[in-house]
Amino acid sequence: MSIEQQGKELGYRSSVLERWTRFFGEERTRKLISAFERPIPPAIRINTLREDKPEILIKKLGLKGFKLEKLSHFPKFGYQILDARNSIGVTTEYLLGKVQMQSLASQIPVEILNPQEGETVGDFCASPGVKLSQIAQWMNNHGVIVGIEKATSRIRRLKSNITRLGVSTIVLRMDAIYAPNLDLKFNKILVDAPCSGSGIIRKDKMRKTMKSREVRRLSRIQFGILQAAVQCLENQGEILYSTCSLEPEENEFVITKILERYPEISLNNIPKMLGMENGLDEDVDSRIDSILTKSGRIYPEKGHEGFFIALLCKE
Amino acid sequence: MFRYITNAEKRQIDSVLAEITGFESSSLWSKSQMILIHRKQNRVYVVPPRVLDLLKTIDQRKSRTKGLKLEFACKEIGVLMQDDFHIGLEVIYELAAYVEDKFVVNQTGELDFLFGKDISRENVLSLPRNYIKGKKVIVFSKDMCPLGLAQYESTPEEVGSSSNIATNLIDFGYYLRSGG
Repeated sequence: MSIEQQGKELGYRSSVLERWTRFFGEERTRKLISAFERPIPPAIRINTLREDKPEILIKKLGLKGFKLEKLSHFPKFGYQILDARNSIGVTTEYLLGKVQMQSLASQIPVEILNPQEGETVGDFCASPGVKLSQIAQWMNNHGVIVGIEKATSRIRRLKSNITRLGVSTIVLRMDAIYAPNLDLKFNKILVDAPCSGSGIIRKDKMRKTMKSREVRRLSRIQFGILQAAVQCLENQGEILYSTCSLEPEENEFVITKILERYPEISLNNIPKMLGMENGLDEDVDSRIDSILTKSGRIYPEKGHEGFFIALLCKE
Repeated sequence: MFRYITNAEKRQIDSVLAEITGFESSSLWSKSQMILIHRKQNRVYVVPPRVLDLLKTIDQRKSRTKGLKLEFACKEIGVLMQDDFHIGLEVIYELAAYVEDKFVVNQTGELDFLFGKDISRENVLSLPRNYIKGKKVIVFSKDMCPLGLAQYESTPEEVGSSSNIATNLIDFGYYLRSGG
């Protein structure tokens, strides 16, 4: 069966498959669309801000019928749920903020950013607060954490999550592109940018029909937020840029543009976790800087959500 | 953007917190400053000095940033009303560490309470000695996890085994019910 036919049967817009074939080749595109039809086990993060004995919590959840498995050392507090009688979201442990549902791949960005106690750390796209709470967990709530969120409609959920998870943070409702106006300087910034979400098609099948112009629109927004983050970064500071998109326009292209515009910014190597592969380079598209192989891509066929991760440093 | 709370407001907060812990609980945050952010409600937060400095900087620059709003600041301890102070869930966790004589419920009581229900006598495992009708009390699970805040409804003599002993004021199940 041709890839067009296969994609059409599964509900993909033809332009999505054309773009993937152009960037990733036919073999990987086939793997991608096949992987998106296979479910992956949900995962949780143990929140040590609320639970100081993770091993006891794991036992308690086991008694309640949750079969949990730790895949590897990373992510540090991440467990996959292999079997469950009901949703973890209705357990007392969830309501008390001891656990948070969070895919393993989405735990990796904060793990790599590695915020430390006493630092000033920003999350420029903070809602729904899951990664923000992970930042606070890494810092043990010691230091200054600033979450920025533009959408009023997402603030309520953000506040609910950070209160439940015991996060000590400032939340500012504003467009992150204006953050430089506040004259704040951060040691570390997480930009988990709004994206097309083509790495999480398993969760949201609507993303099979995303349009190319939407990808281009998001790419402009991502560049704007990342540019603001660069301006708010202390010297020697680090920015972790991540998306759950597979599209190079939202990932390698954005980073390449930042590296071109800001010579003081460089790209750092990142530890490759969860089967992460190198980012794309100029062999795939001449608009991508060859240094982008230092960034990382988690492809969905490895049994995780699709993710792109890049670590930038200011000299 | 925010303002410091007044002495009168602090007294109001202290009296409510002291009812639960038996001491002037705002002393727990003596190194921090209490501030009030007014949205639809007057929400009170406790912020450490370093964060307060940053908030002052933001406050000075706010005119440069269109639509900027401060939505949350470190630790929300509750909502200040005209004649009352409603304790927030976040602070219940912290105050719970200072409660010695605990009001403990069994697993049925725990689930009922977390789903917004009141507490019936038959689900209580341990009742504090200083039980006074109308008093606010932190409810604990049998694992000694704080579950929320309740108010004694009647004296122990007044209640039968299946009737309510305490009214649910706020519980951690709120997060689920509010769609958080």
